[in-house]
Amino acid sequence: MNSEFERATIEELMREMRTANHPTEEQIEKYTMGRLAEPHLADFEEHLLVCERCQRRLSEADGFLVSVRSALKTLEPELHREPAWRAWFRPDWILIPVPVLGALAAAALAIVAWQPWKGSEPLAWQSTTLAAYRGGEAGKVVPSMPVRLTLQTDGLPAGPAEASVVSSEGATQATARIELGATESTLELARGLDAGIYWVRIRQNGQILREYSLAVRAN
Amino acid sequence: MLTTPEDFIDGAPPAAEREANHARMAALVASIQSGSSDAMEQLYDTFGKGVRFFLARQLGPQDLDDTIHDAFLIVIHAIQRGELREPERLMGFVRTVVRRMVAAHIDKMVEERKEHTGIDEGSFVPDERIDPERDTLLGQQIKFMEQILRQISARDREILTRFYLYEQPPEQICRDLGLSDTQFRLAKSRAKARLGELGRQKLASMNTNAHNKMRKSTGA
Repeated sequence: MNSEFERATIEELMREMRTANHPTEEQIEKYTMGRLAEPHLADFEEHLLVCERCQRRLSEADGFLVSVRSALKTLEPELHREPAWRAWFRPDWILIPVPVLGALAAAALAIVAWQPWKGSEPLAWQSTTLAAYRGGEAGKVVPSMPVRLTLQTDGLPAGPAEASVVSSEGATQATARIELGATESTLELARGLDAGIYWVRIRQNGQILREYSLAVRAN
Repeated sequence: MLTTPEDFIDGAPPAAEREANHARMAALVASIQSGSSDAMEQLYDTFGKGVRFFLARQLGPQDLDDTIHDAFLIVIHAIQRGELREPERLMGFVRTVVRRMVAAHIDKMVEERKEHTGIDEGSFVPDERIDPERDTLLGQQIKFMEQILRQISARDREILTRFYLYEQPPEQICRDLGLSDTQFRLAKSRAKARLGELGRQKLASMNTNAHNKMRKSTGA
């Protein structure tokens, strides 16, 4: 056995590693979700190799993540469901004389024609920033929710341009006029998109200046 | 005084402490190189549980002992052949070996699944991780979680849905929902705290029921 090596010394090293400061809850959560990046990732995993306490903490965090995801998936439709109190205001629950109902219907029609809600913000916009596509990771959003796309347009020639969203089958989903010249332009899709892969293209004078990829998926 | 990996996370440790740790790792490597079986045993004692945890977490329980054994053989052979150029980085080397084994195992599984699907499309490939006891516990935990999530506000639920289910970055969630970083963290910690609370309550009621049952059966 090498004279330099002494069992007691290594045991001491490991004991101190196990009992000293441990990663924060946030670091553990990031690791569980695959978001802990190098060089922290290497430090974290090396600690994990010798620290049983953190192994337990990580197992708990893994369990939490699996259960919260499953539960949220189950409950997700409820999140967008109509609140119970609104059901009480449905016409079939209210006994109103026909002439009054007629007047209410006329008023409702007038409001529909007026469209006072037009221009107001939808309840839940999701947003993502798209960088020029170079085979890297696409922007990600969920289906059927209003989406606000921030397009990185730095380096493009100033002036009016057209932004279009095209499905992977080549069907154009939306087009909008945008003004280039700033580092970013925004494109809003109030109706959202169905699940799939899309290309967002910026054209000027018929030429494609830049292309971005966008993944729309539920999870 | 010895340093820890967290010291590296929070900031670089003092050079003298780092060197002391490195010297100890280097001494262990030197002993393994000289063929000391005691040192090999020490290596296993030091990293065995961690390697097992790491591999079990990534690959499941199947063939776990064999995989651990293979990992240590790779480490020991590499050390004995002098391939570990920085002996003081032994811990990092063990981690790299384990990560490579996980990656290789996953590649193999993917290939096997592809081949399997090619022969008989739609056929069932058994999940190595199936563990009835664990599944039952997980099922209970999911039920707890559903109860808790039903009790919290729609806003908090939306925050959790975006973060945990859609994996949106916190910055985006805060921007979209007009939240501060603190409000975002609070929503998350509230849900976790409620899970712990409800879990403890459930456990207490289960213990009481079991106790009552026992008293009844023994006539105490």
